[in-house]
Amino acid sequence: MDIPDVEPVAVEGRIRIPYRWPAGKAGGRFLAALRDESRLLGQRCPKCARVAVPPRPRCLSCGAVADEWVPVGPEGELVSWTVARGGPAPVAWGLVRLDGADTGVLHRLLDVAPEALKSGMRMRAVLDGRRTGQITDIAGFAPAGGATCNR
Amino acid sequence: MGERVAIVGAGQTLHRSRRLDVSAPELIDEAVQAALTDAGMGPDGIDAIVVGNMEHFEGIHLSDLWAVEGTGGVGKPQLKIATGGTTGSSLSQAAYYLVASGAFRTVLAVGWERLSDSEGETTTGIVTAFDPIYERPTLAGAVSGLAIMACQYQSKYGTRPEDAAEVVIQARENALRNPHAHLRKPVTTAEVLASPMLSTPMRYLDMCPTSDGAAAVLFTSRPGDRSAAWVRGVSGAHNHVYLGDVAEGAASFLNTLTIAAERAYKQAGVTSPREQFDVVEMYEPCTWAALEWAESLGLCAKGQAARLWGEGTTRLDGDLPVNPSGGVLCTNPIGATGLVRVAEGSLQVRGRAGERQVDGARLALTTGFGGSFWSEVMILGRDA
Ligand SMILES: [Zn+2]
Repeated sequence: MDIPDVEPVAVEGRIRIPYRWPAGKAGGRFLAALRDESRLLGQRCPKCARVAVPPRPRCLSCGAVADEWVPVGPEGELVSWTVARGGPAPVAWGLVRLDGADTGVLHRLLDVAPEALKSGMRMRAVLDGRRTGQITDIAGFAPAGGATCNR
Repeated sequence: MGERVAIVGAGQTLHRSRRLDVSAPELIDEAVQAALTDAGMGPDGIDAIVVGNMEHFEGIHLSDLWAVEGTGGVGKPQLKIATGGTTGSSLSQAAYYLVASGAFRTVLAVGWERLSDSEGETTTGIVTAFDPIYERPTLAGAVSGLAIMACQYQSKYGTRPEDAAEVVIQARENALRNPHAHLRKPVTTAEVLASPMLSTPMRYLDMCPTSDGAAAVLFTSRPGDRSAAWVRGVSGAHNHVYLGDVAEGAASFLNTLTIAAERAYKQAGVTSPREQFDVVEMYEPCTWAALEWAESLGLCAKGQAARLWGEGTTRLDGDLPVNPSGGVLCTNPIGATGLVRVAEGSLQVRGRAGERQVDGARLALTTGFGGSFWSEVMILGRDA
């Protein structure tokens, strides 16, 4: 079996569509606190005490409306990581479980050599100097104990 | 639960990196006609159709409309199913439920993808699957998500890169026996370990390819005297939204696979999967996933999957062959990939798998993986 030869006619095209996605009630509060007060907030479930970051409409463990807000981080533990080599320079990514939270946040890892990365190491959120009310107001996570908090 | 359901026909296209010789409906037609031929049935025997792909890769919406001429679906009830990587396995589950309910006697499931249409932009298609507010701006793409999982697995069990390499070495050997497979070239440990590092610890040859292809499977409650693969267990488990939730305290990233498998095993009366299954067609997007998920499926103890492959248990002539087709590591037309697992599992228990046939296979385990690490499982048996 093999592919037969056919006249190679194909149509080329491109789709470009701008979007706007609302962060919603819970997400708005979380992102505004990050933007305006440099604070990281978690949502604590009143029933099972699970603390979730980022926020969502209901506790994913028990379904209760999680409307209690607690500070989390800015330090946390590196759960797992990878170093992507596809671009011009290696980029490190990791899952960081912020102190006080039960869930992890997926983000860039900064100011650390790939060889130094280790699951379980302590990390610290690095906030971006320019705030836009988006998750990228956290520039990434760097090893805790480093001097940087704002960049 | 409802009608007993059997698979009586399975068809696939030749899967290749580029099928520029056919349009999408022609690609689908190739698989549908093969399934009908396999079943010895005409299109009139089909009462309803479920069809699916991942849409973004082809840049079309209403893909069911676009596909209708290939499926022969004009004038028939047709539903589109789109669940990302699991699209193919979801199609099989939907077709099963439609027949088991008694609503339809015979349902055709068709999965397809033309990944070459969005040439070089596959990651864009995958990135749009993720939450635009929290994860898309910080997302590293499909490879890195799996790499983060692999890193966790590796650091927990000390699994070596050469252990993972063994998975693709065996997959490529098997694909040589499968004329439909996309990558049909053997690889060595040295080649895998020398292939470019994509995202630690994932190398180029640890990852699945992107393929153009389609698969079609016929489900019926009235197989008559046709050769049949009976559906013995069906289950799926969706997952939390964010990758960070998925990793929360879980013993493994894919605990949804364990949840779905346990339910399906119960339906099929499977208590020791390692002994009872004769063949496994697993959705493994990368070598590391095959290792971790064999454990999630209970095929071996936690941390022992490297031995399963290393000792040859998973080989075509081993005790529990895994992916005689070559698996996803050799062929990956995403919207069809999960359905290919079901098609291959059904061919095995019907004794129609050609050169890749596992001798005397009577019970097959098939799985699907997709989305935010969610899972689907279908068990197929020669006996009802
Ligand atoms: Zn709760």
